[in-house]
Amino acid sequence: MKNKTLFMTLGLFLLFFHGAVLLAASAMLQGILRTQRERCLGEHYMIASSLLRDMRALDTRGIEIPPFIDELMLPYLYFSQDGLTDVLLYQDGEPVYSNLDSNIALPALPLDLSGISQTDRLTAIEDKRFLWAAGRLPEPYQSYTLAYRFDLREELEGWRQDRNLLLLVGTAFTVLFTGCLYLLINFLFHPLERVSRAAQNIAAGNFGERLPISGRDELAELSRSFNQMAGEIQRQMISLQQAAEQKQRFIDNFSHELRTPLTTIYGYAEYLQKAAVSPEDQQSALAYILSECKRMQNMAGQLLDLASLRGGELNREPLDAAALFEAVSSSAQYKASEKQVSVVFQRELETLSGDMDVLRLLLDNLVDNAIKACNPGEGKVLVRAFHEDGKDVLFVQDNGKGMSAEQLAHIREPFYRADKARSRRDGGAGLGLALCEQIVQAYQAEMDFTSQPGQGTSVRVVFDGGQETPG
Amino acid sequence: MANILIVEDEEPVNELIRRNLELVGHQCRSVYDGKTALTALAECSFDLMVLDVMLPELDGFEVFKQNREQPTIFLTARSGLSDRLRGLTMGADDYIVKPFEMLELLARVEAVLRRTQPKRNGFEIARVRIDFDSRRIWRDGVETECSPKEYELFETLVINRNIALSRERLLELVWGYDFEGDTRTVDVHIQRLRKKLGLEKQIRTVYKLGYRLETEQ
Repeated sequence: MKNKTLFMTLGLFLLFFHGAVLLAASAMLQGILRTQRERCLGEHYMIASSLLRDMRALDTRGIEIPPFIDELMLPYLYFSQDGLTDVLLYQDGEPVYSNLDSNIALPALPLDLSGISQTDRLTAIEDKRFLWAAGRLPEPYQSYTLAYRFDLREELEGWRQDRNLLLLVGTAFTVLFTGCLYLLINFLFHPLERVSRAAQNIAAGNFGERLPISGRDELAELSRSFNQMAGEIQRQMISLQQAAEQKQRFIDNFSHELRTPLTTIYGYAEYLQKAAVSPEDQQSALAYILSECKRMQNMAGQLLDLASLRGGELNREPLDAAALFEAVSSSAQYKASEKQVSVVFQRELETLSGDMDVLRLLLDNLVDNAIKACNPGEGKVLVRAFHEDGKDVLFVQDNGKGMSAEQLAHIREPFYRADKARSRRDGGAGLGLALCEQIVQAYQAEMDFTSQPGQGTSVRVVFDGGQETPG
Repeated sequence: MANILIVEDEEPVNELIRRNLELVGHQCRSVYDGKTALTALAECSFDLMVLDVMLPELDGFEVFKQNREQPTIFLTARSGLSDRLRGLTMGADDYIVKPFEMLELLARVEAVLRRTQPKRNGFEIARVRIDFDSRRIWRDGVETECSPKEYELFETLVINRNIALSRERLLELVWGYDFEGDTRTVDVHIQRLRKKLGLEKQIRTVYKLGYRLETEQ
């Protein structure tokens, strides 16, 4: 683009500039020729009239003209003193006199004057080198033709020199102009080059690259758009990277989670097969195998839930909150009584909007976590559903051991466990809250945890647009 | 035989390793996180440490960094090359990827112990004594003439005592991979050992599996 602009501008300039130079030179030449032609015609007229006078004088004296031609012409010799001018006389087309060196053959008249009347004593023509002014003498000497020939050599030479000088100066200026033009175009195109460099940098992976914006011209506009684009790309890349990292972490964790129960199951099975062990040892080994199998089963179930939630459309039909609480209560009962934890349900809503099974999964998990966090015998879990600012809220609170801020930051990650040992013993796969998070996201709801170590945890799930019409 | 520290946060796995190592006569101490491992290492010395990489609080690499002299086998759930290489370049003696086989664990532990403990003791069972250094066997204080294969078979049984070894595995361990005989060779040698050493009760045939040297009962 830059070079194109440079060459096109340069080409255009050269065309017009040299065209102008040529026109000027040609006009100059025309001017020179016109002046010379006027002059030659003037001289011719003067010589012709004076010659005519002399011829008439001879005639009146009755003297034959031809023998005295040379003498008649003598006074005009001085014209040829400059070496450029010749005066020639022709009779009936044949040269009869010239002031040229007698060795040189007289030049023939380069033009046919026969058709030209005496008054129209033309005329000047130029052949390549000479300017001719020639014309027949008036009656009765019309057989004589007087020619005044001017050698244009010097004039042409002078003109050529002028023209060459003009061209030389023109060329010098062209070079100067080209240099200036190059610098100017470089200056003008510099911002574009910067854009191109920035684009290359971005292509090379340096997504933080931005352009400085100055002024309000098209370039500033371009820079702004470019920066916008770069920002968008960077944002997308970061989110892609994060997604990829998250996925990788999930896979890493998953493989770890899978290997641990596998190691245990395989190891104890092998132990039972190969070692001579006591019946008590046998029982405990079998217990390990069973609990690890259960854990894998849980994990498979939850992974299946996660997978089915992903990408699936969730319906938002109104559902009976009482029925939901009923279901959650019945599934929590066993664990609660086992740990001697009291679970209290407070329902201030008649209906919630959402899918019964999915919301039950969500609440089951939250209540399950709450029960697990409680200390046996003194645990209290409160489950509430209420209305706040026109939104439906589910609320689960426990008085268990709570979590630190650092733990809170990670609890939504798949396979993260705040209390590893206990979670394992309970057969947890560490997927419960990841599942909840998935559900909450699918409903565009928000889930917030508040927790203090030793003081229990509370979680609020706020359903945005709880009044939304189904469909 | 050896004093081994097991650092593994998964209780079932820790227990499994401990049971396996104790079967063949090692003394074990189980700890479940990195910090406790450091305390244990500071308190007493161990012949070997079996160290899980992923530990709460302080990971296995950190624990090892602070105890580079300690013979260590890393235990990792990741089959990723980077973790293995990292452990080995740090100077660990070996690594085991979960899930592992019992015999693999024992073999690696045995290999590391053999490297790190130049002095190996013998072992005594039912009036039969085996000396690993001189490769000799005594019955009731009288040296018993044994072919090299018989000695090696008995040593393998002693090292993996209380664990059933399949005939194929015994062939592999004693005769080597490229041995072309069939498993009957093992049966023949076992019969001879039983007779020579009077260990008819101790060298038990395990139904459908192979043989096991039992030290108790």
